[in-house]
Amino acid sequence: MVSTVRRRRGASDWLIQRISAVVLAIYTLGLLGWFAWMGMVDETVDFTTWHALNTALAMRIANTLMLLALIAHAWVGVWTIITDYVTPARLQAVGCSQHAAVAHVFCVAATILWLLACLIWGAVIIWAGV
Amino acid sequence: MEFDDGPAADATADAAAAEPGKSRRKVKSCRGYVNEVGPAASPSGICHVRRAGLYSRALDSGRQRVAYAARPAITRVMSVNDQRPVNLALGTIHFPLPAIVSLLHRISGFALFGMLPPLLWAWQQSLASPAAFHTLIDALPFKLAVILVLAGVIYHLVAGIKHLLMDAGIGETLAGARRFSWATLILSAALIAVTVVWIW
Repeated sequence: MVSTVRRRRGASDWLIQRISAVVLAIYTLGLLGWFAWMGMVDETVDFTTWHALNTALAMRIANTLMLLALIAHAWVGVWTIITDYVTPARLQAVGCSQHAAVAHVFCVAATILWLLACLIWGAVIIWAGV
Repeated sequence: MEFDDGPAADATADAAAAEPGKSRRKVKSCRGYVNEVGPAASPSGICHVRRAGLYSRALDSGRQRVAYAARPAITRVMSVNDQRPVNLALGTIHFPLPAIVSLLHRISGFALFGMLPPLLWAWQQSLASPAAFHTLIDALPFKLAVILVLAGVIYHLVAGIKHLLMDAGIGETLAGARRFSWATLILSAALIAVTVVWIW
């Protein structure tokens, strides 16, 4: 039967999930810190300041790292959810008897394509923005 | 317990008995978080799987190990397609607090995954032009959406930090897990409340 589980991928998935989690946590706290700091120095967050922040090279690099971490993190998380709840056995139970394995692989493939689309979209926003 | 897995499995069982905290993680892992051995497994578990070379028996609960032992060795390759006796009848399981906190972590993560396209769209609009920025900010559901997303992010972040701490072996006892779960709920609720006040 077709499986989306390759042998010996668990350790790297485990590590990717945690490293990306740390990257996302630092980014989130940094961004919230920026908003808090803007509030403290009584500077309004308007289009000019927001745009300036997002087009600074350092922020573009930070945003790219955040985006890569986000996509990797989402991939491991959603893959885990699919393998837990959208198993071929479960699909078989709801009637997809012949194509259960195919349906399972379809879910995984759709997630990958969806996340890649989000990655490209995000990269365009970060780098092709005015 | 009756394992017919040879000396390696016995060694794992002994290790699990010696370290109750570690055995909890293995049982949790058998739900499918990690189907292969990650650094989360104890050193003895990694050695065991290397020796066995087939599947991560070290991550299985005793009940499933017995089920595996009853099958021919050639079929013992662990995969998500296995017809394993896993009780995931969610309606019948009693959920202790750490399980609820873990489930909410998952739900919030999946919700944020679902929010990716709207967030990317909002990000794009906010940088497109001053007019688009103000149209977005002044839109009625914008504040509500920001609060909902931030609530999800805050909960997922706090529960994630709890997860990382427990990965590091901190609070891995039953009492520790309960304390951590309460702390996660209380801290995230407080931070969400602060955020709501701040945004509103």
